[in-house]
Amino acid sequence: MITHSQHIPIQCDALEGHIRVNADCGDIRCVGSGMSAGTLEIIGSVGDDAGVGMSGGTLIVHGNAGRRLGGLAPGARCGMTGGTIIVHGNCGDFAGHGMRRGLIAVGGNCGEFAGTAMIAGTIIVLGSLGARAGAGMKRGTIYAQGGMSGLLPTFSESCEYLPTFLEIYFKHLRGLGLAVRPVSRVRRYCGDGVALGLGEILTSAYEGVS
Amino acid sequence: MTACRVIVTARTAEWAMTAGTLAAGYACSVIACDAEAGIERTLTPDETPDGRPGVSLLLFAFSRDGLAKAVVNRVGQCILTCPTTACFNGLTIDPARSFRVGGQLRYFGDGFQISKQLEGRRYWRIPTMDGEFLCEDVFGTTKGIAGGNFLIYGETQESALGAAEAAVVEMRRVPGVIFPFPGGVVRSGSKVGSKYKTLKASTNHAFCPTLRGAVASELPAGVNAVYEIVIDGLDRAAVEAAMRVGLRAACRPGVLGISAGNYGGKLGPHHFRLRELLVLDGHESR
Repeated sequence: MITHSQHIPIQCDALEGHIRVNADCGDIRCVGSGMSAGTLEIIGSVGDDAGVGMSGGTLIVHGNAGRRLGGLAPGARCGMTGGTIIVHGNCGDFAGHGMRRGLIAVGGNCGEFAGTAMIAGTIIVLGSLGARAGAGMKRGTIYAQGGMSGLLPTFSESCEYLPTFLEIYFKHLRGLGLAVRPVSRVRRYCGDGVALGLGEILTSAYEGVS
Repeated sequence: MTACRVIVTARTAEWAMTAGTLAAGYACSVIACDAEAGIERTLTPDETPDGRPGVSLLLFAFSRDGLAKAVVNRVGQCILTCPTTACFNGLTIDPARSFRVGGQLRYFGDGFQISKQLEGRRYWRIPTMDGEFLCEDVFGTTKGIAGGNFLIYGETQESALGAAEAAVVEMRRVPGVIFPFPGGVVRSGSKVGSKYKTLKASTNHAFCPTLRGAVASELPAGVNAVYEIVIDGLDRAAVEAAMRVGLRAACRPGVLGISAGNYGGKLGPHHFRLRELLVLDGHESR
């Protein structure tokens, strides 16, 4: 674990725009915030507010992420507007808060209130999704491969089907080193009914929703 | 000619082939069709964007606008309507040389369509009665070559057709080319113009065996049937490669000669000299 005062071991490939930090940054906030291009790879965990206000590029976290991953920058009207965030471990609450575009993929479990006030974009959780996901979302997609708990009553069940677009995301994620199982049937919920209602939560049809 | 590649996927290879066959229908010649089209090859799940079996189509038209119209109509009528299908661009996208397909078809979603953007590419998810039709927003184009051809002179109809079929079987293995006519073989070779002023093309009377004696025939003695193989390709190298294997495969008993026509240069600027193709292949022509 490193703190603000410590030296951070960084490898940088300027031609590829790839920065690799060989350290655990679990105590550091706002890692990768405001990124617009290139790749930032953390061989460890990151603290709260990682990737807030991102507009492009790729942030790869090999450990866990804290709260508000890819969320709103202070004073901003929306969260990340582009780019990709990959977290191999778990992430905290409020991931993708106010997200407008881009992709957040979490290899482990995701905390509560993921995709709150989401405007658009995609959140993929390969573990289980915490309660109250998608609260106030207008558009966008939240996918939970490992099931979810605490689905809001303002979401309505649509159907069970096999969405073809997910495999395109999965191929992309496999290319970024995330172990993703092939697409299987999903159960679709549309909402949030208290907002525009054009968003969706997709959960594996073989996992429970409570 | 402007060309594009359309990738069609479906739940099974059969449904992908059904959609592809339909989308490439009525597209033999730009003389009277909106485009020339054909199935380039089948694709395994590993080769498609969504990991399902698919087919690759090539379409050719005189202009990019004409091609865009043809592709949007064909995808909208033949692929969108086919169960479980999805449709993707198969060429590199140059913004100056591209056109929108999913971006136009999305309106079928009546406001319920969903856009997804990944790695600079946009996809449209259009709700349908069996789930969703997924279509890529923008398709790239390239300068292709249409109308590459060679003629097989047969002693009989059977020998000429057998040679043509054998040639097409081998040529279909070459990537980047299609054979837009039925089964890849043309019986009605045409010449530019006609005695009838409104007709752009008419039967190539000099190559019709039944007219020998009535017109100045170009058929060698003993030839009683001619079949033409027309090749459209994404580039010159692809057309050459296909012609090379096709020429060799067509050299069978009963074939009295093989020729090609550029119709006095009216067909286009690309000339494929058959002898040179075979010499380059290391086989002298006969």
